[in-house]
Amino acid sequence: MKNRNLKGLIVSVWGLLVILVPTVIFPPCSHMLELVDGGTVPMKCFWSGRAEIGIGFLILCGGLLLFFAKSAETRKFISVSTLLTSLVGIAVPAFLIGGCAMETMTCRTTTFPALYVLHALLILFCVVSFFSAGEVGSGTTKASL
Amino acid sequence: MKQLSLTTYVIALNNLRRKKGRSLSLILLSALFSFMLFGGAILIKSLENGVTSLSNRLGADIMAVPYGYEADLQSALLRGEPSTFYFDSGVTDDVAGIEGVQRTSPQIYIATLRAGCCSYPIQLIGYDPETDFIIQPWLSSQVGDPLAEGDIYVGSSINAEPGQMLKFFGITFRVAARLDKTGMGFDTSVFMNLDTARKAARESERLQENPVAQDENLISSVMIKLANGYDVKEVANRILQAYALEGVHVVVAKNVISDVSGSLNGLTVYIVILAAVLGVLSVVVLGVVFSVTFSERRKEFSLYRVLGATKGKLAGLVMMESVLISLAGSLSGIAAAALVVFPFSTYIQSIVNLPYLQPSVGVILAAAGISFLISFLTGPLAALCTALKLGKFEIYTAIRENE
Repeated sequence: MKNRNLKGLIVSVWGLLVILVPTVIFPPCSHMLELVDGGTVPMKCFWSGRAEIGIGFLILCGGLLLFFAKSAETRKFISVSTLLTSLVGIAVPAFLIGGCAMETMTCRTTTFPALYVLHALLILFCVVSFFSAGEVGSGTTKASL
Repeated sequence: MKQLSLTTYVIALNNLRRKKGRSLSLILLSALFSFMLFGGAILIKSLENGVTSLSNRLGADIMAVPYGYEADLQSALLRGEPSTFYFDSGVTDDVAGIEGVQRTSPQIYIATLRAGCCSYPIQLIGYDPETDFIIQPWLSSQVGDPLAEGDIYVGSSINAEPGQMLKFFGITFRVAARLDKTGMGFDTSVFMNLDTARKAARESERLQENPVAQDENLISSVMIKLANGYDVKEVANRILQAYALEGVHVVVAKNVISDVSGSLNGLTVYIVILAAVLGVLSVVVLGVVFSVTFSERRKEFSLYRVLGATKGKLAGLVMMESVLISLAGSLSGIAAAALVVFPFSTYIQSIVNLPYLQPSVGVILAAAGISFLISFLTGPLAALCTALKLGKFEIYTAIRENE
């Protein structure tokens, strides 16, 4: 397998892991908030988990594009866009949506730390992938994405 | 074409790249060892800090609780598990009259419901600021004014800043201060004075039954400090003899701490044994691999010699390969351990079920440095034997031996 294909595969697996963390591996808190009218709604961390599924899907697609892309320029663009997606993946549980207020809740003990670690490693990988994509202008321009 | 000078480093690096599978396996082994060393060191240090914090913060010698709730009190203190138990407040004065008791202070525990922002139950602890000798001594270093009615102090695990309003049982409380991390149950507790706690209990009656709402003379525990020169066991026995029939039981603080220390010692032994086994395994496997590859590479080394490399150069080559493997393995192992022990510290604490307080940055850096040094040395140590053998072999026989 070519090096660039391997990188695409790794990013795809990473995207899949980001999807699996809030759904299977470390699901967020399952308690529901009771409303005054007696109804129930999920907590903030549930919505953070849902957003991460979407982010994971974008990363997975980025990985697939990286798998097929041949030109260095395209590969650099994909690396940058995946890196930015991962930054959003950190911002969602940290600031944009957030989670439970107590450190000992499931979302803050397992779900979010696992997502932070995954995204941090992916950001590092994207930086390496960007600089090892080769010179812009190299690679096959014909039939490249 | 890019020109590469044939330095020992360049040749060693290319040798490792050529045998990717073997190199990665050796790096993985070295990484496992450093992971275990650094991760284990942080784990042990955090648990030790937790026990120290527990013995520093648990200022009482004896705690009097209603009979049958001794374990609940320990769970509340060690892990912040919310519990609700009561007996008559007269116990405070009764116990104060026992010989050997110097100070007593009552506390009220109220467990909240799974309600509010994030649906978690927490422990509300009401204490008497006038007699308290447990909570205030370590609060005073962080907060100046005594706690006013309606004000609360929150543990470090509760995400609320000073001045923020928090609602429990429909009452809004003002957060007066957020406390430092203690590594024990206080991190997930909320502190208030006795009057505020009783008010909270009355309000809680609308949602759940609370005996304090019916009888204001109820308390959950009495913290007891002994006068100098008195034996804890003796005084505890005196309390039991006098008031056991009235449903009063005692928890001796020393026993709580020694139980926790015992669990910590057991865990430490496991970690040290595992690290030692991995360390020995690393040296042995690396040594065997270097020795086997030396036999495989006799011809290669002979050719280096024919090309003019000295015996010292060959020994340097083997040492350099081991150094590069150890370097990559040790660094990646420490990085991997850091990615596990720091982000998942609260999860680890919930698994080990013991007081857990992460060490300071200085201690963490020292642990990383020492772990790196020990792990890094295993490679060169394992390769030393092979490097010494290189000085003895004959070029001619080595080249011709398979012909």
